[in-house]
Amino acid sequence: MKAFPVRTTAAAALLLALSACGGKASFDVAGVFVTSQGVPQPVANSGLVLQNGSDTLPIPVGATTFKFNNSISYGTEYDIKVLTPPANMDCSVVNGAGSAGRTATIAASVICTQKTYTIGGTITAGSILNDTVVTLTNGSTGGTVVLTKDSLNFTFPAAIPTGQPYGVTVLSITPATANIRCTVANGTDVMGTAPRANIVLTCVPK
Amino acid sequence: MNSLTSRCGAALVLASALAACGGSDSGSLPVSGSILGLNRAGLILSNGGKQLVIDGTPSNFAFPDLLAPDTPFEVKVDKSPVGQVCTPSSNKNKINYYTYSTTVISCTTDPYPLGGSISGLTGSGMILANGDATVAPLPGTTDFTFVAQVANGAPYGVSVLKQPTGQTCTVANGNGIMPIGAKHDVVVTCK
Repeated sequence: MKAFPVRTTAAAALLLALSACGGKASFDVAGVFVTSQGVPQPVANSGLVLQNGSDTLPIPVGATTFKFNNSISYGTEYDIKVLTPPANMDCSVVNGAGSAGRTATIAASVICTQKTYTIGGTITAGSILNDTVVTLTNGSTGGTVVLTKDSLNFTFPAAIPTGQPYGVTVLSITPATANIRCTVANGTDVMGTAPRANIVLTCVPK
Repeated sequence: MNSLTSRCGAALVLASALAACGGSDSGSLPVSGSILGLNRAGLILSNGGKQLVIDGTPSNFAFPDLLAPDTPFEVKVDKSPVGQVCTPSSNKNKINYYTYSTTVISCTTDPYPLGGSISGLTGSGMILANGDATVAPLPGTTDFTFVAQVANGAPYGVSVLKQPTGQTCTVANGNGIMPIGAKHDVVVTCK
């Protein structure tokens, strides 16, 4: 072993390393588009551009995978980033950086989610009097807001992703002796790309 | 959480050192852990037949007895609260500095179907919403149920996301708190 020139040993080590990863000398810089739970999810909106160093890659709507045009050689560092997110979306990259060959293949995950916006609105003057309390709900998981005579307007605590439906209704009126009937206008719709404050609660005596 | 655990652990080690000086207690570690998703009273845990009634809806628990190192423990759920199912994990070991607080009690709230009746629906395209959950009854349908079930104790509020072609539908009895059981009394009337 002593007799071997150092250079030969180094070459042998490189060969060993290459054979350990299947003998590949060139690696695709690639990945998939998934949800935060890891389920495949096609890119919904246009405009996404990924970047690896100076290499940029525009992504079409509907893409489920990506691969940069330039592959990289064993040992080359890679760092996949979002250069431009899709319209109205936020994206993050998981397992996007490393050294080619450290894993058998480069398999990054890009997670894109629709931006979220709040819903809210106003209360018609005189709707809630004295100690009456009106509770609004956005379905079973969208949260509730509690309104009193001092409430001027309201915003639900849970923001809603673009494209997701919401439905605001009157969950309860207490005490029952308030004897009023409340209606919600503009309470049900599909979220767009800006906050909504157009819901109107109006209560009248029964 | 890690730093909290280690800090608690350090405190316990200190406590055990002090206890050793006093000689009043052979044990040093309480079987303990965290509780996820508990939203009502009624959870009862046990270890080695000794019960611990959980008061309210805390996010962690600790049995009052201090155990000597290497004492086996197994935290069990003796009783879940009504309408919830609680399951222990990482709950069986010999107690030591690293294991005494590993138990996690995960509670889920039982969901039930929400739906009701429809009258007069002749147009197509109606979509009903319970917040972000939707259902699209076809013309002629007289009954509907949301695919997404609702956890008991959660509110619900049914509204019309999209009216059917040429008709207007209204919802009555569409709001409430989900009981422990199916709720099928929402009334949709189309004209």
